[in-house]
Amino acid sequence: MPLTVNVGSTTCPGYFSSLIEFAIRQSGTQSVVGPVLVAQAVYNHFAVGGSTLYGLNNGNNAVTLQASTGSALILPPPSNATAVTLKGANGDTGIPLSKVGWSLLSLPTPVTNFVLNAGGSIADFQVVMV
Amino acid sequence: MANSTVAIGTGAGGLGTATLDLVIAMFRGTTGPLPDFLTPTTIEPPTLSNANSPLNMAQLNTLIGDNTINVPSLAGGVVLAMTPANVATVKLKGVSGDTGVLISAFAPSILCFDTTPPASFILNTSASISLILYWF
Repeated sequence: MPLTVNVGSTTCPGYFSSLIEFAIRQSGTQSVVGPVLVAQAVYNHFAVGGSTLYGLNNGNNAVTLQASTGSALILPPPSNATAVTLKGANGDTGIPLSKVGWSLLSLPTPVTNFVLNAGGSIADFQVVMV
Repeated sequence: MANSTVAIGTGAGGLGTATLDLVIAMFRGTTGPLPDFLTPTTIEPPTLSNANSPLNMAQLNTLIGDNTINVPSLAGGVVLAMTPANVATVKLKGVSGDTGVLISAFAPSILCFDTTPPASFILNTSASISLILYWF
């Protein structure tokens, strides 16, 4: 069972608001839309404040989301060499994710869980709920 | 009938470098018992960088049901930049038979792929939505 560390408020969503901003920058032989490709902000006024799940076991790991989670940051450890697959249910084929790069899911209400399948145990894997 | 796409860029990899930065700031909210004056806590995961990026973007109008999204070669990942007015149930799937992961129809999601990206994935939508796919 993955370990959950509650950085924010788990019992009272809404004590925190979250703001997510990202930007893509590019350079190369084909600058299609300029140096800043996209920058977009996402607000969640009922954020749970960054509750974090640590560690994945070998196989399917159900990621149970706190109530009012607006986004989930999937953050492997930088040295990870174990395969990770994003699934909706245990039996899914799923989408293989980067072993070391982060992914971000914006979630509708009421998503309660998803599955991360690991090719082996990953000790410092994090899923941050905001 | 295929979904509707308008692509900019060739879709081939190796055209340049793309980096993606993310900052998440968390503030003390206004519905709790404390006033909103505390310094925000920030989460800044490492910058994603792909030196062989396809530098490609595509506008996509989905059909109801499964929409197969072909991944450009050497893509490091993709931003699914949803149109804010979208109203639909949206699922990310690996293949058609998957249950899939529910994602927001109007807020962006970002997938980072491994060194060898998948050939494709599926966006299942309950109604037609529009979005821009930014491949990095």
